[in-house]
Amino acid sequence: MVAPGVTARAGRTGAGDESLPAPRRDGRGKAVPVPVAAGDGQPVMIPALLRSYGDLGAIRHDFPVVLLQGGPGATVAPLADLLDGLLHQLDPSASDVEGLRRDLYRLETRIKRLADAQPGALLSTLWSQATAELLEETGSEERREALGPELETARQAIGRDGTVVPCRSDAARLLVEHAWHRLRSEQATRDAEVLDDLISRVSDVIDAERARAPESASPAALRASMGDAHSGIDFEALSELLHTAGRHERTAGARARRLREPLQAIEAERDRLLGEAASHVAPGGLPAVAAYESCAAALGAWRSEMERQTLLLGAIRLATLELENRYRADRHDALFLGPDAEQLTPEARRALPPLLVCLDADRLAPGDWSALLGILASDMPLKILLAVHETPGGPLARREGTATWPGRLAEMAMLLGEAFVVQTAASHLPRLAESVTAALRHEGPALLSVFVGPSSPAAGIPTYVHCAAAVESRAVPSFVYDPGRGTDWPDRFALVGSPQAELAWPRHRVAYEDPDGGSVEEELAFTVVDLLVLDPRLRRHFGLVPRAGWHPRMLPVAEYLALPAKAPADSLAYVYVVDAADRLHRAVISRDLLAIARGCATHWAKLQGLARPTTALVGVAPPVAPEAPSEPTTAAPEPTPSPDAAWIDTALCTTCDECTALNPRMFAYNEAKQAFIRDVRAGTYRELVEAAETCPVCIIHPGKPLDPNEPGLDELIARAASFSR
Amino acid sequence: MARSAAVHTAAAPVERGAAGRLPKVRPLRVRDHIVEIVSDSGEGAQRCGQAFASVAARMGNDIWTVEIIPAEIEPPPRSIAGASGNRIRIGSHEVSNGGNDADLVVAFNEQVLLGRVRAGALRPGCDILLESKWRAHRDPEVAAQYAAAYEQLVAEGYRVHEIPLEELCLEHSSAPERGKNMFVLGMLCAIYSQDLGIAREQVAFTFRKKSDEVVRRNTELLEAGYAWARQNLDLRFEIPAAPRTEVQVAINGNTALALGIMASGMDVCAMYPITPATSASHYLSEVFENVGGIVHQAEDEIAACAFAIGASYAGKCAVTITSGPGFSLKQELIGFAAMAEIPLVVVDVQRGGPSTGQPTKVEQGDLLQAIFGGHGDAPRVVLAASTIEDCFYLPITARRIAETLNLPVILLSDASLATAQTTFARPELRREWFAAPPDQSAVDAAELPYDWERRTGLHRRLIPGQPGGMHTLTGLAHDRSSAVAYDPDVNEEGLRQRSLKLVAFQRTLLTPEVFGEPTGDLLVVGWGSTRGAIEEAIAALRAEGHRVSALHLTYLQPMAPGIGDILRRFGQVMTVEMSWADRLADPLVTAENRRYSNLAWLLRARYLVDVDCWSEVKGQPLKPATVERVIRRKLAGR
Amino acid sequence: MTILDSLSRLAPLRLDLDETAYSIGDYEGAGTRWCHGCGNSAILTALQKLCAEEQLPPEKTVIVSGIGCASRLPHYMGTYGFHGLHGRALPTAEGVKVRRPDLHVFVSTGDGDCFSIGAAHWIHAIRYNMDMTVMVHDNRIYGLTKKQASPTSPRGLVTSTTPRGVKLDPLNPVAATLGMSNVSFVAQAADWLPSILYDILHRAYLHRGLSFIHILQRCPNYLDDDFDEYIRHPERVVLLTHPQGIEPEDAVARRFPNRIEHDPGDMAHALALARMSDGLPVGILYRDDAVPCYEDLLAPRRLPVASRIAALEHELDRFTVRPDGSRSDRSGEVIPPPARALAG
Repeated sequence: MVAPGVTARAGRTGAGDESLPAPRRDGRGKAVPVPVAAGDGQPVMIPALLRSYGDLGAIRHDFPVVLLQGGPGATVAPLADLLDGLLHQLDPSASDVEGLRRDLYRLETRIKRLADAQPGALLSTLWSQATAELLEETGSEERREALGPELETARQAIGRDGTVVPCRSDAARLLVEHAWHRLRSEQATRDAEVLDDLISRVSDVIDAERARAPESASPAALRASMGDAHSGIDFEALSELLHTAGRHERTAGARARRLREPLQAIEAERDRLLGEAASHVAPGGLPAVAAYESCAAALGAWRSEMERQTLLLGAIRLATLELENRYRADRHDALFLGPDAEQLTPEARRALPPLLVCLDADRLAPGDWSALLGILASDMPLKILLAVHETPGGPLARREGTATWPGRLAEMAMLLGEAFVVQTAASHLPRLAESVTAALRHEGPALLSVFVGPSSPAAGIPTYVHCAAAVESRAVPSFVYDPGRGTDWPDRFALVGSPQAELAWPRHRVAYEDPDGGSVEEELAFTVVDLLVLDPRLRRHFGLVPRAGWHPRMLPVAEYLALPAKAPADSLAYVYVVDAADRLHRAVISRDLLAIARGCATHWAKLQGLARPTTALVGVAPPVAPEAPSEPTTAAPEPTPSPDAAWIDTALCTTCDECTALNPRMFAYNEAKQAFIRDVRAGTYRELVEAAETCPVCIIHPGKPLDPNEPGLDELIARAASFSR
Repeated sequence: MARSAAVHTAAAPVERGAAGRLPKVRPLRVRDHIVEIVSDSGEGAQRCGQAFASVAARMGNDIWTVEIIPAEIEPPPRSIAGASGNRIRIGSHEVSNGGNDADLVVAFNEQVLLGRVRAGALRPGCDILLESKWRAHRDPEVAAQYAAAYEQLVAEGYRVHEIPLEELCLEHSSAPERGKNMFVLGMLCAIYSQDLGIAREQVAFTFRKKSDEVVRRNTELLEAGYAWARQNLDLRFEIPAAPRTEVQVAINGNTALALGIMASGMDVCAMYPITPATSASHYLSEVFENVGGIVHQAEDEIAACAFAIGASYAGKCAVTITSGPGFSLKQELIGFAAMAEIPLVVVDVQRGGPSTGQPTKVEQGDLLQAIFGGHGDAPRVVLAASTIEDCFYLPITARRIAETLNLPVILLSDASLATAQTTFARPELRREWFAAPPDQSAVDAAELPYDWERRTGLHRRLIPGQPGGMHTLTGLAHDRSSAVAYDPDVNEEGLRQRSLKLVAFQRTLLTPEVFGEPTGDLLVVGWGSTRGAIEEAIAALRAEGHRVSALHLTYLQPMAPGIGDILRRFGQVMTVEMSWADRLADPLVTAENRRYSNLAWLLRARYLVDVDCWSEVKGQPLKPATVERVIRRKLAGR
Repeated sequence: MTILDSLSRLAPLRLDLDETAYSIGDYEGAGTRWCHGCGNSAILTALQKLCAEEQLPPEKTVIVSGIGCASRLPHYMGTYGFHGLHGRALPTAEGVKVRRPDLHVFVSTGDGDCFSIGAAHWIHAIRYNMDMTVMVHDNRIYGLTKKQASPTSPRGLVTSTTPRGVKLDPLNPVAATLGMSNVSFVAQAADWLPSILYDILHRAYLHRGLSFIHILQRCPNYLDDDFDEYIRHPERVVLLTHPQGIEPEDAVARRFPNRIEHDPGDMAHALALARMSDGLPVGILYRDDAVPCYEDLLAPRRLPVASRIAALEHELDRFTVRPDGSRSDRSGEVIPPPARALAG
């Protein structure tokens, strides 16, 4: 089988060989046991499909990651990506590219080892240490001469530095906190700028008010404002003059007083934000984050934060209203009276500065569980990182058959409300970095449920393998639910990071020797049961069957589950395992395990149903709703007026006042100040004709006379003829 | 071994010590000395002069420097009219003007020197340090000119010290023609016993924008010049520095104007290039942005004024800077600002007129235009700066008056203040100086745009953005609601109210102080840049016991209360100005047809006092000695 | 998403939305004193309609004008108005705009005001390209001063100053404007095509930069028949239509059949149209939204007084000498002005 990062890598570097080292064989062609120590004395067994992942140091994958400092762009990058990115910049035809590639990979291996030993170290530090080691071993003098500078240039080419994080159980938290930092500092800086502008505009209002207040015309104020003694002015006299002129308002200054408090509040916030922005810019290593360790603590903090924000927003509101001269005491005084959470709409609450909550599923405080559900169903922008240690086999291992597995919370959360949900394992986090950022940005609650490997891992199995296997086996499906995207499930939900998502179980080929030394190859599904093999507490649910005991009615778990519900009683489900001596066994499994496997299969099937086809998973944009047929922009053609009726082509009227001056009762302007015939009977036919003649744009059509007895009609009708088009 | 200067005078050559070393010279103590450094333009005499002045200022002396500028940018080399450089007056006492004749002159060639002699700038028998390279010039004509000029000067009694400046610099610089000004600076520091350390700092500051190498080379030249003068010149002066307590700034009038404009909180300056005003805009353009302002170079003088008026109308009071010809072009708009009652500050840095006149030279011919320019009655306040310190403070006052009275305020300076540099106490900036932002508060719909207070004509200006204040202002005669006048009384009412603003403001002015006794035989009245020269002359004459006093006016429109009384307390009154007045000596000129200089017209008209006037329009700053002579003649009744 | 956006979601703000909407009446000022039949009325109406359509706060709208019949327009608006000097409307409007980008600035000027006495400002205003809408009412005659020749008077026209007829060919304002540097919006309209005039004015208002609208305007008193060829023969009017330009409504289309599709991005074609002798092009001839605005290039900053003083102290340091001879160096104390604050 293949761990996620690894497949991805094989394609990219074009050097497939380094991605999947085949099991090494000795002279006698017998597989050499992977050196795994027995944790509890018994021989350790591992799923056959994980057989080749003993030594991760030799394999390139997504860890360690570098938490990139500052700068725009990505917040994290796997070390391997940084190096490959560098190699990609190089001109492949160049002679020494291969040499450099080799050196860099050697360096990479060193850095990995060093990083394991020194958590929190900066890439630059490890880089120079690793370089030193390599130089140490380099024999030839001039090779050393070349290597040092070569690697140094490479480091500078990479440019950005940052903390190197190996895949440990704390990796998830470090990654999330890092993303959190970047977001918060960016936001704080932006907001500080906005407030700064607001402050200067409010200060302008206050200064203008002061200038209008009587105090500004006091002799002292005048003297202060006039330059100095050189001004040759008698300030007492000037002050008296201005006061008698009474051009200064007693009332002025009321606004200034109204604005003082809000301004202070806004300034305080501006300074706080600047401070925050600064605090996030840590010179090196990992800055401390104010993350809450329990829901209760977070909720408490949230309540006071909301009060503070309500006050602040009230202040900003007031200031803005004043700036726009829209302040009405009767309506707005209430605004700044005090914190009133009810003032905030749900949208407003979602938009408030979020809080980060980091929980450990194994150490949930009583009440946290229900509090979690409450938060996820609410509109509070609390971002919850839930570190999960247990697999779906957990309850069984702990002999708590009835307990729910905390991993299920993510699936529930999707149904609770408008929470952003990400579920995955630590191994996959680097690939989901963007989704993590999106979750932290999301206006509203977010749950990041991350499997970080067992609290007491099986000896010799690296956390990375454990996590990768958890995703691979469908025990921890990796998915993202983004309520900000579209309205229906396929838009919002994607099985990001889950391998071979179109299948029930991912399938991989495994090769082993048959007794006659010949090589057998089989394609097998990697199921949750394969994962549970790694859990020493479940040993009793596996029965090892040596080759001698194998028989046809033994079915691989996947095939067994595929059988019609009423399975033949005598058929058994098994998984291939390898023992400490690297011997291959079939391990027949208990009904409990089967139940767990069936559970995972069902869950997975449900998720598949919610998602779109895997191919469409990455970067699905919400579909644009088909536009409703727009109204015809031009009004429907008016019924062409009968040639007998008098009318005005109103749309062409130029508001020239000719006709309205002639007879305001007959001609009038509409709301667009264009003329129409208000009352054709309010005047004579003669007036109609004269109006038509005087109209500079010839849009008045007199039609036929209404009063047959009006004098001189014949002549008028003749004159009118030219206008009755 | 450095060469010593060949000193030739009508008198016997000075004593020489062994090896050409001069015996130790004891410095001569003087209260006041004037140094001129002249060269073809571009030879660095200007820079040398500025640096020397700053050194002196930093030693605690009072200084006054006057730029010597040729009219053209690139006059032909070695031409009499091409003199470019600086006159630096250094004193122990307060120095308020460029003084009289130069006591020491450094000339890079004899022709520019002759130019200064013709201008009457040199004290008879003064010391001249003359670049001697011309004597052996390959062009025989040049050499001949030099020899002739040299003979003439010696014959006229000047102490001419021939110095092979470039040759001496050659030992320290590959390009001596460009380096010698710093060598000269060194010489001057030696001659005037200035601190070499301060001089070094000054050099470093002068070349702060250049490379360290440049600074190093020039410092070397400075030191060389210093050492050489110590060894080879018998000139040594000491001008005791008056002890100072407060921090000083050393700037010229135009820089002071620009700083004052910034300190007034105005943030729009619209201008069109014109000499001599432009250098103020140059400096503003460089730094206004840092203070939140902008300089707009408009397509012409009229547009500049209109732009400023538009900015004032919609925001804070704005300023436009110009000189004579541009000022004339702006008159129609200044009248509009008066009519529509929009605050505006117009700075006029006066130059020689009429027409294009003398762009780089000083004159005071714009006063009447400033007050009466344009058609109809357009009241405006007119202020004149009489010192460089005024140039800093008056823009602040002007802005405040403009916004208080809602009218144009004209601030007069002139070419002499613009380019002269002196020191004064560093201003302590106050936030109250800065104009308040435009009022954007809502007003009652009943509020009228011209709600004149009947006695004072004052009203509150309504600015776009103020709800309820909507109106259309106009240059047509209008009533209180700014509606165009069709009623015969409306125009008269508007004229009255606008005029009353000046009347009311006049009553808030302080009667100016008389320099000298409040009564006497003769009162000399002046305005603008002549203050220093007039008061120095008056002081000198009073010291001799003459009963003369001076009165200098800052407010020309309106004029402060009590001036009439002052005039009447003196036997005679005359103005001393730099604007044209008919000379009674001319045969056809009579008391009846005589045209007086600007201020005299005003005083005679307003105070019904028989004010005489004396004026000079040579484009040169007024000299105290000249004023002294004029007054003596006046007292003598000639 | 900034803190101010979250502000916009505060519940009570909804209450504030019940502001009174402005109607055309809110933009009416003094009663017009133009002659009956004057084309200016149509322009005034179009402008008032635009203000109402765009709901421009009257206090935030400024109409700047010079001298002439057209320049009386501000008096008839209910907004702020500046009825300035002959020819000086444009530089005044520039001054208004430079520090007050928050104001909507319109310029109402005429053929004499803009193309004759103010011609220098016309050229440079186009070059500055400040964000304002310029309406030139061109009646090809001086009306206010009673019938003298204007730069656009047709050759041979007999006026008080040309009793034997105008001897020169008229100026072509549209072609001239198209030839100026930084030109960003040029349109031609006619007062007797009010709906088209309105469409053009609307487009012009929405364009960021200086929008130059040349409006042919009838003068019933001194040149009443000048445009008759177009009024009586609508087919001689060429409507320029384009999605980026204007699309006239049916009522108009009925009378003006003669249209051509013209892309306002096509300068060559625009120039050709501007020079066409047979027919009157009406519509948007040219627009380029990429031309920068002078006010943005100047980018005036709003600095708190404290920062201004700090910067000024820094300047004074350059000229400061101390009695003890040491040059002051207080640069350490100087607070640099804050990052560019938005103007307005």
